[in-house]
Amino acid sequence: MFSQEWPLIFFTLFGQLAVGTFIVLMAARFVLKRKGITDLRWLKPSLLALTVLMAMAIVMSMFHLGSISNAFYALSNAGSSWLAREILLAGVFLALLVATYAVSHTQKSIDVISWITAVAGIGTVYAMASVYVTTIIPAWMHVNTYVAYFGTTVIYGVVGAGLCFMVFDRKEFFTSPYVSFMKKAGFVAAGAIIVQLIVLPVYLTSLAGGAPAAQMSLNLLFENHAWTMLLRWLLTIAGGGLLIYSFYRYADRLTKHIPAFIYVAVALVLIGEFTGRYLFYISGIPMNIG
Amino acid sequence: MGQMGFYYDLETCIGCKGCQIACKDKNDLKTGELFREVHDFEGGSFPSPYVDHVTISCNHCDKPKCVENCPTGAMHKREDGIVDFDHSKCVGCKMCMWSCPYDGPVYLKEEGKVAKCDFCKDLLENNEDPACVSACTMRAIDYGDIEELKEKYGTNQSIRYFPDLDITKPNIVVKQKSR
Repeated sequence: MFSQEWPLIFFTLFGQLAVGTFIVLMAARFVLKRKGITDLRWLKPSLLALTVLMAMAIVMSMFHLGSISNAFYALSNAGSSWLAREILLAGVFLALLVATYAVSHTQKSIDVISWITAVAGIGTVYAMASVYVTTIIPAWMHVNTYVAYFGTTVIYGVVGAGLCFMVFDRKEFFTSPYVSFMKKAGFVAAGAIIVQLIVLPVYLTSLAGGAPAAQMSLNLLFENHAWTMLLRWLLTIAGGGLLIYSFYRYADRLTKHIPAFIYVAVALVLIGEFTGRYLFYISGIPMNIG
Repeated sequence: MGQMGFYYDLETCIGCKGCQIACKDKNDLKTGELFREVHDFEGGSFPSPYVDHVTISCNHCDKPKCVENCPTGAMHKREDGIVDFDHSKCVGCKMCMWSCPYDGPVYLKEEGKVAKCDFCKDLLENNEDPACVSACTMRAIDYGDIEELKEKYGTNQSIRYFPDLDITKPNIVVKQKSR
């Protein structure tokens, strides 16, 4: 059963990486513009990369379907189905990314289109979470699902934006305005981790007091995956902490050479969130007779 | 119009699984695919051990989450209350399986689509009983308009082994085994 969920792990993570990175990049654009920095060399290649990433996310989701040939019916019930809304919004977000990329090549400002794209992105993540919240699977029918999905969006967004700066405009990245922005963004990501850690005990307690399927999910998490759960948070916190620290401690030196530990820290955050999503799917035990 | 439903007399059911087999045969299902399943529960201790059997398929609910969550509209509720599916529209996303607390929808691996109990609508059209009802040697399964079933057999507040009935409001009347 679980092997069927790999496409969904990649769809949700890629999708949230694309949405989060887009929003953080647009926030950076706004902040830098106020400081008089308008020559953003990272903008166009980043938008292209995000478009490819979101397209890949949607392609990944197709592998979950048993009859891809019927995929065009999947929007028919958007009136009541969050899955239909998710597919619709993911498609709209991708189309808007393409549009933003296209506008960025003209003389026109991307202010308006980027706002619309950001809203569509947030809507996509909200729909992604709602798909799971409206099931009959107690481990998913909880506000924790929204917190986890938006948490990953923020954390991946900050890391993704940092990667975009680093890959597409390394020279500027370690100048003061960028470092200052990344420091603030790092604390927003830390906030997203803290909120998730606050909700976690509430979530686990609700599973403990819930239906038999909820208790089965809790048992599965603690008896079979206690170390994985611990590892999930250690990886994200260690990676995130290391990144924030490096911006304070080594910002001046990073311009010349990016040490390996930065890449390791990014990998830790990516793997930490991936592990969290793996646990999310594996703990999804449906209610049933019994 | 109206609402079709099932009545299960779990006091009389002996767990022979005749209904399960008749349903599987009628729908030509493969190994591991069941539209109706008989669950067995054992418990207690000497001198009062017990064995319970619960036969269940789609309950053609009043609030079918499978219909609500199906992205294609393949899963739908008919005028007679039967929750039916349009096989040609199913995309095989399994969302209905995540939406049913009774394991009603079943994924047919070979077809890459989901299917479920359709109340043997073809038999009903010919004024015949559903396969499970005909097959039950103990006459523990009845069917008909849910209001008539409630009038005949009473109503249920909550049923042992069942998830909270308020989630989907199943159209079943169950006589529980007294203990």
